Amino acid sequence: MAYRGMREWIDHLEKEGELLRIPEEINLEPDAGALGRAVCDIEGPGILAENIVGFTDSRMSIGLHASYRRTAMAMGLPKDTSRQAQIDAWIQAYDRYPVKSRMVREAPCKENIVMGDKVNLFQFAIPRINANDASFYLAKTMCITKDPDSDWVNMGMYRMMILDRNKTGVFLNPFQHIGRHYAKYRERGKPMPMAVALGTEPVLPMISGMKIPLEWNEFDYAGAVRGEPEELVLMETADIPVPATAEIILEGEVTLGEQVLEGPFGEAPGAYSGYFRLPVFEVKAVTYRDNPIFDTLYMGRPNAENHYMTILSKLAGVQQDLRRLFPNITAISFLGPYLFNCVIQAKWRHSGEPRQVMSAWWGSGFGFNSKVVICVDEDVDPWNAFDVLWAITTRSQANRDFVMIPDTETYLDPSQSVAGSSCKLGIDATKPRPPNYRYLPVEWVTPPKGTEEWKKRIESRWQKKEERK
Amino acid sequence: MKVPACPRCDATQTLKIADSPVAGKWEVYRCPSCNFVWRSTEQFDELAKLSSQMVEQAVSFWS
Repeated sequence: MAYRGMREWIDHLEKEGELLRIPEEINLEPDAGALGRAVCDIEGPGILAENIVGFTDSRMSIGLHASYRRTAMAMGLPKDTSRQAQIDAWIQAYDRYPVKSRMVREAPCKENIVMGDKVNLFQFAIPRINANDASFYLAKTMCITKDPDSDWVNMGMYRMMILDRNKTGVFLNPFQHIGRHYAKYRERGKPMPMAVALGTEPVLPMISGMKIPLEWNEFDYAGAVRGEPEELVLMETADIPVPATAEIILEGEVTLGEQVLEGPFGEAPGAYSGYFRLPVFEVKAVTYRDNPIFDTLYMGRPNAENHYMTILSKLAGVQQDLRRLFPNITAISFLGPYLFNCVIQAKWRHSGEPRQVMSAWWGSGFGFNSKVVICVDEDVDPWNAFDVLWAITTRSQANRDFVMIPDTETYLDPSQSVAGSSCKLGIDATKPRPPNYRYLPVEWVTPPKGTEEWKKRIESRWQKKEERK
Repeated sequence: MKVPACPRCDATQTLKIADSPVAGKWEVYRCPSCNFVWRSTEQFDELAKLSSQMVEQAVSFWS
């Protein structure tokens, strides 16, 4: 099932018992962050707050992607779809790329158009998410830019700190795809036109946080995931397409001169980021739906909404990349926090292969920021921390199987002595194999024959007994 | 009109930049010294003061 916009998605969530409306009056601070944190802690329903102090016709949603049930539903899959099956669905969509978007002339996101001096971001219910965030933040952004030399349109998720009625900071750096666009505009001495979509059908924010191949179009990949083309409309002030059913579209330019002090912001590892000097986004126009919903997410100590929302789509991308080099990789997980702790499961072919896979991982687009990489065998569930710890404890020795590489590029690690530099740790927690047996092979205890059959019979009889009570 | 001091860096010259859409419910202020932005209805008992050492280490990607 493909949703036409966020409102259709919200209706579906409500029918499925996955959405809670908050009718009582709330203050954006601290209630928005507290609601988001609570949803993540209990993997509860998404939240739609409809009665916010100071607003008459502006609502706020948070936590819409904060469970693996809803990440499956977002893609049109049953809500009990396993995490690996969701990753596989993202990968299968690569083969269907591109499903070209459909351009429309009239769009719900144009129900209201505000230009120039009348722009006022404070008309929307944008909260401070955590107490030490430097401002109210746009956290679930879909920033859309166009390569000045080609038709390549990029969409990505970058945090944006509100600075004024029509001004934000934008966390863009040269390593991101948007950074390539911005660098070209800087070379030409021209500001970069940009649109920011807020509140869309649920696949787009998940793609916005992933890294698809360079020069792919995120909208055309979204079409491949959804099985239906995205509906796009041109923004008012530049030749850039935006999602037609978005709740809010900000239009403007990333300027060249001033770089503003930005941060801290409660980030993915569960710690506040430091301070940054970032370019400014000047908002020239805002278009929005009647009674708009500002959609945001909770970020903080894992699991937080950004983990649920983007980990599986990110894993699909990196799994694709890594399997080209190592087709024997069977699964990859992030055990948290966020991308820092990665577990790679494979049908290992050589005693040295885990170390080579670690090297490839750290050299890849997303893997470069993983601090810890743990290699396990097929009998270890990479999503089960207890299982992974069992493998580390029983299949590795620290002096022999732990690999450390100091002074490597890593961001957002709160324990760093120098900002941007961490020590990588690789752990080979696999069974010994030729040619360089790391230790004497042992026999591992496996479940007695018939265990799976007995599990089913016991569960079935147990359930009946419970029902009779 | 008297404006409140910045809760993060204690600067006294702050700016009122917005009012609530429903009149009289809150105002928004910004500190031009450290860029902290806040709503008048917020409590700041958990707020960490500005760290000048961390500001000096602020990372800039675009020189």
